[in-house]
Amino acid sequence: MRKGDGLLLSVVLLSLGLLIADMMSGGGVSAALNARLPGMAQSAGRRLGQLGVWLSPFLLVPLISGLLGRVLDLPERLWAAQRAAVNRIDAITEIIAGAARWFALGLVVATAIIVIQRYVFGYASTKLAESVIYMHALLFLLSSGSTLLHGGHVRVDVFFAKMSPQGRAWVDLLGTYLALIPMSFLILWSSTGYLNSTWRILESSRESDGLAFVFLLKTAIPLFAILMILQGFSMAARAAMTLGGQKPPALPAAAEGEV
Amino acid sequence: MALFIELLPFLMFLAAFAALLRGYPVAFTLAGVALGFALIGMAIGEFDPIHFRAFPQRIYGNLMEMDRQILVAVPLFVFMGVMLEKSKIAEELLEAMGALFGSMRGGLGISVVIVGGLLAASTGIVGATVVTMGLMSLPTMLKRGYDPALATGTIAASGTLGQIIPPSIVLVLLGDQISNAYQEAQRAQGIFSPDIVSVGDLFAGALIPGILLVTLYIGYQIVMAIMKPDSAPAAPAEGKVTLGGLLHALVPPLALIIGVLGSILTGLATPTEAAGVGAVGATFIAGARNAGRDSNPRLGQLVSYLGLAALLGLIALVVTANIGAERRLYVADLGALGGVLTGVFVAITLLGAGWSLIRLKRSGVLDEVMNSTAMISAMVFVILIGASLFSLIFRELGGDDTVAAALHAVPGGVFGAVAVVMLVMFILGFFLDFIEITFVVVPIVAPILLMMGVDPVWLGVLMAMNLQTSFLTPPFGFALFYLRGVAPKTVKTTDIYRGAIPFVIIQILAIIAVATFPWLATGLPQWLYG
Repeated sequence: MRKGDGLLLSVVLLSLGLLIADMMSGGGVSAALNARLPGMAQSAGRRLGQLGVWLSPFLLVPLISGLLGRVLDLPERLWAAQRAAVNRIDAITEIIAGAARWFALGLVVATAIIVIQRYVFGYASTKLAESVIYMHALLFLLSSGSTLLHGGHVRVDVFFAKMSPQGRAWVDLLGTYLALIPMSFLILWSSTGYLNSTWRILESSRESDGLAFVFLLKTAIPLFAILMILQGFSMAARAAMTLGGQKPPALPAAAEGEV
Repeated sequence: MALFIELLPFLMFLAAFAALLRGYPVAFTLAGVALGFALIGMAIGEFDPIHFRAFPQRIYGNLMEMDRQILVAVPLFVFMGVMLEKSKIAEELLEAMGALFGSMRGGLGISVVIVGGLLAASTGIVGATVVTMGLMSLPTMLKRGYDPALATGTIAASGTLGQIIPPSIVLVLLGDQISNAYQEAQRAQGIFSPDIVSVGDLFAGALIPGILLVTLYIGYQIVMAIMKPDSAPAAPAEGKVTLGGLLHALVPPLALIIGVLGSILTGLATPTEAAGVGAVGATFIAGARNAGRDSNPRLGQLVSYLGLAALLGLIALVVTANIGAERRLYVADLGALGGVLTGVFVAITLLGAGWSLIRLKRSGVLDEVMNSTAMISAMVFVILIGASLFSLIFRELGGDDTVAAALHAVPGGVFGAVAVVMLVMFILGFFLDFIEITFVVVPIVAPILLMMGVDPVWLGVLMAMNLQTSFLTPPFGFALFYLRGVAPKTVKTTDIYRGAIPFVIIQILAIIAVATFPWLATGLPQWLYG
């Protein structure tokens, strides 16, 4: 069993626990959540935002050490800290992707059930149909970081394939700061208003018999941006190490998948 | 200054092209270039940052809303394709076809084309097909004295058939883009009860051109075998093929092709539904063969096959219940016997599916399939996110009008405009991947062309054939690249390029044929859907 399996299992168990508690208390849990969640989410969101502002200057560390590392001898502690951060981030990414990969199977199973329901029994469940979309969205949003880590995002490798390791490190370093991180920040910045409004009403499906978790699904978009910023940091730090004559940490070996 | 504003969208396109060539992942590069031009636009007052606010909603609306169910077909088809690949049907097909046709002159080449066509209609994954055929058929062909250029060209070209023969991921993504563009074009013309063009229409439209390509490829093999017998010699029969072996190799892919493609083309199921059933079918096949393991205990094999049989039984029940029926009929209409039968079939299907999944999980194949599906899904849809930012800003900078003005200025009217677009896509295809072209170029040009009265299915099929060709065009065609990776060192890279050229010419001829006789693309969908 992988670490991601445990994460997925605990999320599933937690939701089941909530569901059972809700049934036992005759809807008490959901009523309490409905009343408190918007307020709690707002203050939590504010705090997360502050944390992000405090942390974001650290994002520049790989850029600076990459640029300076070529000409100066940087203190070993700087590299060690980045190495530790890279290993930590990669581990988180792998756990999340390990949980998300199950959605691939979930999609197949749910679609098959939908088809049997519809064609054999003439019955359609809106909830199940919506869960397919949820799984589809979470599958690609949450495994994007791991895809970046393992080089699964397509590159135009006409010239890239012929570059030296240093040349590739330059592309990775600059690309991360010119493209990946700005895009992710744009998503975060532009999400604030719409996150606010979806959490305030705990937005649910437009169908009356649909799933009530549209606000969570929409939150997956800024979550994707945060994961991409973290993985971008990891990528940039690896590139900086290559440029600074350091040996970047090895890739986590777990995921074996060919594209 | 006015000229600069006029040229800004054009510059944006050039900048994107130049930036993409640096080699940073495409999804983010597109977004980065878009942001850079948004800043320029803000500086000269041509872009209002309020439009950024639309970005998260755009991601949500483009990718995650209920009416985007068609996109789910992509991970499902990937799941199905990778699963089939792991169950080694490609290897078995190549052996069976090689034994069947190998003793003919040019026979090995013909068998490669036929297997390529069959795999295209079942797995549809270009990379995997080219790699498998490059590892299995290329050494045999070279040993028998095939011209290396002919052998490699045939393998690379047959591998790309997966892009044009439905079901294919290109057609799903392209069909989705064309369908959006068609609605947009009709709204802009003030048609408020618009015609809808679906992915299913594009599947139907691409079928005959796909078969045409297979025929042309086989024809080329025959011509070469006659004109240059040395380049395609006959192979002495290597082991007899038994009927059982042939069936074991042929039945699974054929059953899936008929089931999946048949249910889409007859309009019985949506592409997403058919892909889901196809993925389950592929799981049964892989489970029955205990993919990834050397031994194959009888019991598990039996349960998986029983599950598959029960699934087919269910499909048969649904189809028989509905043949000639006025309205759709369900189990409830079948009476007691039908009810019992259905219950038994559903139970056995579930049992077989569970058992197959456990087998595949134990051998590690399930993990590989899930990982590949997750990665390809992330790769495709994150590009769509980057591309949607790109097209958002391209539009705000007036790119639409620039392109529309340019296309209207092309001499030769509609046909001229289509020809120019096709040419641009062909040239871009030398450098870029089909996904970028589909997500960046198609949303910009397709609404304009459709407003000029172009048939959407015809346009979609032409574009799909064009994108397929981009896999073959030296020096950066993907299929060539994959083949280079697995071809023996004795095969020179120039051989591979030389071998691809005749097939590129065949592609161009086929595109011209479809362009001249649009019914090749539009006939089948019209006949099927009226």
